Amino acid sequence: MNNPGLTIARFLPIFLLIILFSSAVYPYSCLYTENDSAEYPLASPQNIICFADYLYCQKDYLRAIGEYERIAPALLNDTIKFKIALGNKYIGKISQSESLLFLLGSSSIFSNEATLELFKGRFLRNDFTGLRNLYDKREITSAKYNEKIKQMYYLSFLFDEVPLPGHESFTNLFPATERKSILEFINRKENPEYKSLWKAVMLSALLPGAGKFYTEEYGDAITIAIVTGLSGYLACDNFASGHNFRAIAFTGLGALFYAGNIYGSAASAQIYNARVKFNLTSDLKLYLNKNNYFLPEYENFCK
Amino acid sequence: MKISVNKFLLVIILPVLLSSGELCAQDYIKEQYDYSKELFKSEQYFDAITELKRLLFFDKSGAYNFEANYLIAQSYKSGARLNDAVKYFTISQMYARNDSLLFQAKLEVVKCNILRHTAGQSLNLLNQLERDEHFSNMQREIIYWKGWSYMFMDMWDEASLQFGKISDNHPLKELSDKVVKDKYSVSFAKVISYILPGSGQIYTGEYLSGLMSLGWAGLFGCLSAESFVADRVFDGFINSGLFLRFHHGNIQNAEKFAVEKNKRISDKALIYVQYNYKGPKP
Repeated sequence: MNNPGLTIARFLPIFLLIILFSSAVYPYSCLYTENDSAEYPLASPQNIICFADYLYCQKDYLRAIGEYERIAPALLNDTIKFKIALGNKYIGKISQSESLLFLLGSSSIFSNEATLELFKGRFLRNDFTGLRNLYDKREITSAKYNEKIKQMYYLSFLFDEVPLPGHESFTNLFPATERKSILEFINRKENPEYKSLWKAVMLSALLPGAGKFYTEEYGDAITIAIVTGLSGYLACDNFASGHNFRAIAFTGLGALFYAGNIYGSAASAQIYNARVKFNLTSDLKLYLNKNNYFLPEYENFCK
Repeated sequence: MKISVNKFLLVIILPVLLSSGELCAQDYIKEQYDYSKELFKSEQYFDAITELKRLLFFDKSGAYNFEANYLIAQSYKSGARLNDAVKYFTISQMYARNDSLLFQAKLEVVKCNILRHTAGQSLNLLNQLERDEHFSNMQREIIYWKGWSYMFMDMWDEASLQFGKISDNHPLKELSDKVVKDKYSVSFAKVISYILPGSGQIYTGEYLSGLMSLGWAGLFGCLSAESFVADRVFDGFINSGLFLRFHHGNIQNAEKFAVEKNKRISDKALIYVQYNYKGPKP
């Protein structure tokens, strides 16, 4: 009886039976969570979150959001809510994303990031008026990223027709190394090299092709000058030779080219001005993209 | 005796206990797989993909890696997300347990390429399969899908050749031959338009356009000849310029009609295949 091996041999089966019985009563504990009481282990909140996190990192945002939304609201923490907001933003559900970011921005551990995301979202989708409204109303602010938000606010003025705020306060927001570039963009916005539409029209009326020359369309300018001049010459020549029908035909043709030259010069001036504006916007976007919009990198939840 | 009973219990219970965790997990994984498959069968592809991804995420044993990836790819394919489908068919190839499954997955990539109009890529893949000795007994299928690739590349004569290797009476060979026969020769249309303005259009069945081309080119040809004969050199040059403009336009027009008509013939044949052909389709 005092044999220890015999005692172990007697109690071991009982011990094993208890363990086996317990595993039969709680069959789910054998799966991925230890204290899982869900009916179907894969549907336990922990496993859903785990799976949703995986989907989120795989950039399958639609499914990730669907999984997060299956979790009881009480279990939704700020991290999950922030991920839902970001996910919605990535899949283009802007209004859902913004309403969640507003909530998170006012009170959550991600209030700074949520606020920054709100401004960033509006900036990246060219909603500059919306960005400035949000900034001016001061409904939502971020102590941590205040300077970054202010940068976006000021940069937004470069993209539309609204007059710029003071230069100094603008450039001082940026690192010293970038101030020169920013100042260049400010100058291009304030003193655009536009061509006067009326000047183009007047020039082309006085001398066919001159309007196009003014708007730097040199090839067109030469063609117009030759074509209109030739039509005029042929008209005169035919009148002089008594070929009245041909003279009238060439006069009509010449008049058509002349009118087209005036209209074309006006259009060309408008196109030139649009190109100046477009170049400013695209150069600015390239520059900002190169500098990551002066925005900070923060945790993206996927390691 | 008592000790031997205990030993017996130990021998029975211990393996059961040790394997119970795995078995339990496997039960749920199998259940998850069956559920996903049901969703797929009932054409709920979005949910099927979600559940299959869940299965892959939780199935640490990797028992369903091939099936799950393959079904995800099929679901994406059914939803016309062909790029995603190719991605998952390619992943499934890594988990194929035998050559047959590997071939099946590779062939699906070929079909997706045919459907997304990158038939050149599918042809490259089929050539690789053709050279691979593991699939030497699958040559018939490879030739069949090569034919399909050529059909989508608008190379019906090549398609006919491929289907002809399978059978001289293959319905797709007959269809390909018919398309080749029905199609217009673009070069011929251009050459005859060059010789006689408007004839290229008439060849492609565009009679009105052909007659108009003939009329315009004829008119300015006559006017320029008349001007030169009457020593009106300037008028002659102007009229010649207009003649050349109409003549050149007529050649371009004939080419455009021939290309358009050929495209219509090809599309019609592909639509016919889509709805009436009973054999395997991409």
